[in-house]
Amino acid sequence: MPDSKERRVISLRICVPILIAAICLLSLLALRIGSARLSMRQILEALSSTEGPVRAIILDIRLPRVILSILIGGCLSAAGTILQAVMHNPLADPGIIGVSSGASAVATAVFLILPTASRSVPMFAFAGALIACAAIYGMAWRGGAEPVRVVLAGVAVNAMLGGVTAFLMLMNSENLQGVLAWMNGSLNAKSWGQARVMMAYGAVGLTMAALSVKNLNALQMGDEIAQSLGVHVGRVRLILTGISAFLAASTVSVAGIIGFVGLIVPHVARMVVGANHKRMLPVAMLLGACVVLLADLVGRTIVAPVEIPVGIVMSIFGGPFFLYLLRHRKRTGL
Amino acid sequence: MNIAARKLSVGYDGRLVIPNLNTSIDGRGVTTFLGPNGCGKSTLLKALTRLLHSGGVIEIDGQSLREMPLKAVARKMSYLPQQRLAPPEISVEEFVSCGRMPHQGFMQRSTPKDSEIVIWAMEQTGVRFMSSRDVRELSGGEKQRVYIAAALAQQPEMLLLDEPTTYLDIQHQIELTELLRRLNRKLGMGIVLVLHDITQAYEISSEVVVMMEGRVYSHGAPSEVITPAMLRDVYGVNARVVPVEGRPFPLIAYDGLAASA
Repeated sequence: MPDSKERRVISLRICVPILIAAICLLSLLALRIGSARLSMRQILEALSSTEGPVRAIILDIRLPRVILSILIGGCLSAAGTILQAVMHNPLADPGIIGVSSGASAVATAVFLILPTASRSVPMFAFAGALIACAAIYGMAWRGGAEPVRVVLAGVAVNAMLGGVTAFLMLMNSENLQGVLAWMNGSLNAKSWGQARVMMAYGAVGLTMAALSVKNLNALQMGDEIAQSLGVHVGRVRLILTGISAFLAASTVSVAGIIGFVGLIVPHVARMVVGANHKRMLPVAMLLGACVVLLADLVGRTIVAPVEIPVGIVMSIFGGPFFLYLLRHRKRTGL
Repeated sequence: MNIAARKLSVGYDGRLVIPNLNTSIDGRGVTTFLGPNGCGKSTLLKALTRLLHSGGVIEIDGQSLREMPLKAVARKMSYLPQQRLAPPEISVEEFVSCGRMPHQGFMQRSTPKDSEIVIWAMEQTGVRFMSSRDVRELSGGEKQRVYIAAALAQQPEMLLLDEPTTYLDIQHQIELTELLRRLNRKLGMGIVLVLHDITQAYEISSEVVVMMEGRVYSHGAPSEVITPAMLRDVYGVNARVVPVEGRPFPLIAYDGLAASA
């Protein structure tokens, strides 16, 4: 039956508008819902006035948070999409190249050993993420960095850094509050300052990601075919991994560790539009924005007035959803 | 197009598979590398496409291969490995379109000319009717033709294939060898193959390079090179080359292992 073998993919013309509409809708909900529930009319009135508490809530508290959710979702999904193609591994997540463990170890050290410097945690976490990634690549390097060796070196380095982090926490167990909040990835109390930093990171990282679609398409066909197509495989893989690490590290430095977005969203995007990165990358970015917006919204409302960090929501709901994907897919490859 | 290798040495992790090899391949015909497992024929093919680092000199039409940009190499020749990853979840047409990469700029979009060439490549290999199907859903023979279509979209002067008929049933093997012969005769595309089936090599090749232990054992027309003596020396088997009435090519009949000296 040739008909059943036709590829069933949804065209970008349908997909992109739906996702953008979803982002707008979720953003609007995120602006309305919170400790003070606002109606649409209140929002519009507040925005047309020049001062007032409602205006401050919307513009200074909720809007930066919405912008951060969108950017963090987009960046994490792009990072995962790139890594899965580069590693030929559908289970690749920015975590395997050490971004999370490196950032955690350094951030924990700063929180616990130099509490006075806790304002600079984002900077240190960013550096820690990239250093861990470089260490993994350094160890996997043997005239090139084959994906399998990177994954194995990643397991080793991640375990080591996890041990260091646990050790630091054990020795300073009375000051754990700040570390735990950071490690669970929270968007609480974010200001325009952080939103602006993330916008700058996102603009750089996502532009580089968008420029990589052709190389991603070539690399996912395998190293030898990619080189036969004129791609400098070793060099391009290193650059793309760097872009992925940069994207993930920037989100970690601003909001802490938010897992599963970089793993699940590329899978869903691939199921919907196929593995051609010209379509898959933009869809993954938009979908990632929706997912983080939704997860944060859930975290803020589900046991209000207590707020659950978005990282925890992603782990609790992301894990089972990933299992569901695995079971309900005929093919689980790239 | 002509590929020449002089004092070529290739190895993995310090172990030399090919210590010192000289050869010259006429890129207008169908050239087949024969030889037992581990003789270095696949390694030679990879070195000739710059997939492996090598010592010595490799020249394409007198130009040093190592000094050519990879994209320029990709416009001259296309290589199809034997072992491949599962293809990505894309359609046949998207897959074949990837073959246009070496002709496109960094951010350049596909032009109407690119799509024309993609359609042409799919027609040459008989996969156009399945252009919207998922590459992953295809059978082994269909996949092989799609890979060749992508290679054709590269518009190379030479196509290099590592054991393209392995894992295919006999119908698809014949289909493939006829396709390769047609590409050579009609389009003048040079074909370089690694094969295990000696009868098949006899039929398809204009030139055969027999390799043994990293060296060229003999090089010439199939009728000169494929002989009982070669099969005994190189493969260690007793065999006869048997002419068959009404058939342009002989068959190889194997009579068991040769007594080791």
